[in-house]
Amino acid sequence: MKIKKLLNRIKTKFKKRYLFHIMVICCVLLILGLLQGLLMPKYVTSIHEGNLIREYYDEAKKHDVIFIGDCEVFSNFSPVTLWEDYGITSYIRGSAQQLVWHSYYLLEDTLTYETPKVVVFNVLAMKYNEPQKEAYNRLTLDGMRLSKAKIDAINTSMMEDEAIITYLFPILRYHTRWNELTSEDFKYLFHRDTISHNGYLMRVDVKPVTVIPKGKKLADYQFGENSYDYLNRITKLCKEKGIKLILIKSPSIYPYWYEEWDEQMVKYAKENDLIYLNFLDDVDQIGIDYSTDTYDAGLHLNLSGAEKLTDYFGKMLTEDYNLPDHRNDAKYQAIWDEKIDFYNAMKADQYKELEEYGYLKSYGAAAPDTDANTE
Amino acid sequence: MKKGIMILAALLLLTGCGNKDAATTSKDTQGAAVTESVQDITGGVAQESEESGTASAEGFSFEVDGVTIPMNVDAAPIIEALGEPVEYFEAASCAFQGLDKIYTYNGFEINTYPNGDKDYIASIYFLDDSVATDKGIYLGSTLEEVTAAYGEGYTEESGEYTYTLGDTTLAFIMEDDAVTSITYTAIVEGLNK
Repeated sequence: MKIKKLLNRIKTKFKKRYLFHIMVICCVLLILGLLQGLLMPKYVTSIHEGNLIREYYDEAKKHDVIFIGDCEVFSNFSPVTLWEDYGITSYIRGSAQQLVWHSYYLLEDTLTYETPKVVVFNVLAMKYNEPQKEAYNRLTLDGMRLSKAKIDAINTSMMEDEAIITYLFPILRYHTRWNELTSEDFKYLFHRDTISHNGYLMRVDVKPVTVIPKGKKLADYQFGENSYDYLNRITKLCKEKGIKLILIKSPSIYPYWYEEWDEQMVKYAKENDLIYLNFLDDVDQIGIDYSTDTYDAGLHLNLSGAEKLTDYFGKMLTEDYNLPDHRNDAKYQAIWDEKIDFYNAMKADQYKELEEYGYLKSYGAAAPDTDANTE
Repeated sequence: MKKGIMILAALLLLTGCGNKDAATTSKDTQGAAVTESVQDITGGVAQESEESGTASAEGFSFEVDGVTIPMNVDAAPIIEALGEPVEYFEAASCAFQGLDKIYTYNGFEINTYPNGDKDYIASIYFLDDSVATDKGIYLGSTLEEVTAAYGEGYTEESGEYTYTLGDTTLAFIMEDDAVTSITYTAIVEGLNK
């Protein structure tokens, strides 16, 4: 009897100790989790591009068209216009200097949530055959949800001195931000405001093109093997899933798009039975006026330019790809009405800010005096 | 168990320790901390030049009209010394926070990259044969003249002969035994490929 009692006491003691230890571990993990959330950059008041990839996961995943690529998609196409003009639902999974392998893994990631009818890939990134800079890897990869696609993307994208563990546990990367924390880091610890319109980063300001820089002579115009490898993977994945892949070159005039590069894309599209659209050739038909339709002298289109380009492209999507018009479908209407309201509110706010400050203070634009050159 | 808690505590402590490279890149990502991120990007050369007010000796530099232009140094005094450019272009930088700028002068153009509130020399590209390198190589020179001037210590890829010195490169593209392109470039992550 005594032995039984003793055993019970030991059991209870172990249980309590066990529970205590679990609680301690949970508390420590919770604190680490909170610290990680606090220390990671929020990209709300500046470098908005850092939030683009993350925002997709909050979205209702019912898109006919998915765009993948760099700033030439997230600045130049407006999904709200595509909806308003043609009833086409779309999302831009774009990010700053998104490289071809980023695009491929983002597509893999996207296809675990939905299967669009059309995928649009902007081919400017073909010029990069190797990872370029950690900061740009972060802007794309930190926002991805943990998945096999994310791990593969990290392994393919890391620079020589990077470690995968810092992507899986970003606190190991950002822990030294503790002395740079601002009120933004606390304010957006648990929640971040949506900054994009289905991946589109709106800018209404205007900075006209005054000079078009010429392309520097290159020793070799051939796109690299790595770029082609991942473009092939994108093509194969789309074919396997029955998705129409459209290759595009956005009508941004800088960085320079060489004729030799264009020829390679024309050839690739022909060999793989794809459509390749170089919108630089269609600027007049689109109606783009580079004195009013760009906010940074030709690198990105502003709202006016993006709406013109989207309307032009939407017509092609409707006529050539028979994408359905969902505007009379109640299921979509409620979702998109809300998006249109947000779009119009931001548009009004940007014009107001332009009038008040002369530049888009809250939307990532540089103040005119810091923008000035030596002239 | 105690060991486990100690490990976790150590992890917590780590969150406050300094890892310079990590810190500077995160600042670069967030577009802050000029001096540190300049050090991070240029390995200290830019900051050194800025402090001393002279060009870095560790690399190729281009001379024109009595103005020496090294790579990776503050562009402002150089642009001021060169005077009004024939053409000027700026666009949001793809690799940094701020603006990439292109100043076109007679015979050459200067590209800069932003870092904090300053611009640094990223590259110089020859536009015609009115300018030459410090060793007399210009557009139209032969490969023999290039190697006589700069030696055999180049790497060659697709007809481009590249010499590296410090954190700079000097590259010559050859076609039919004539130099058709000359570029000085700063070796900076995100700029060169």
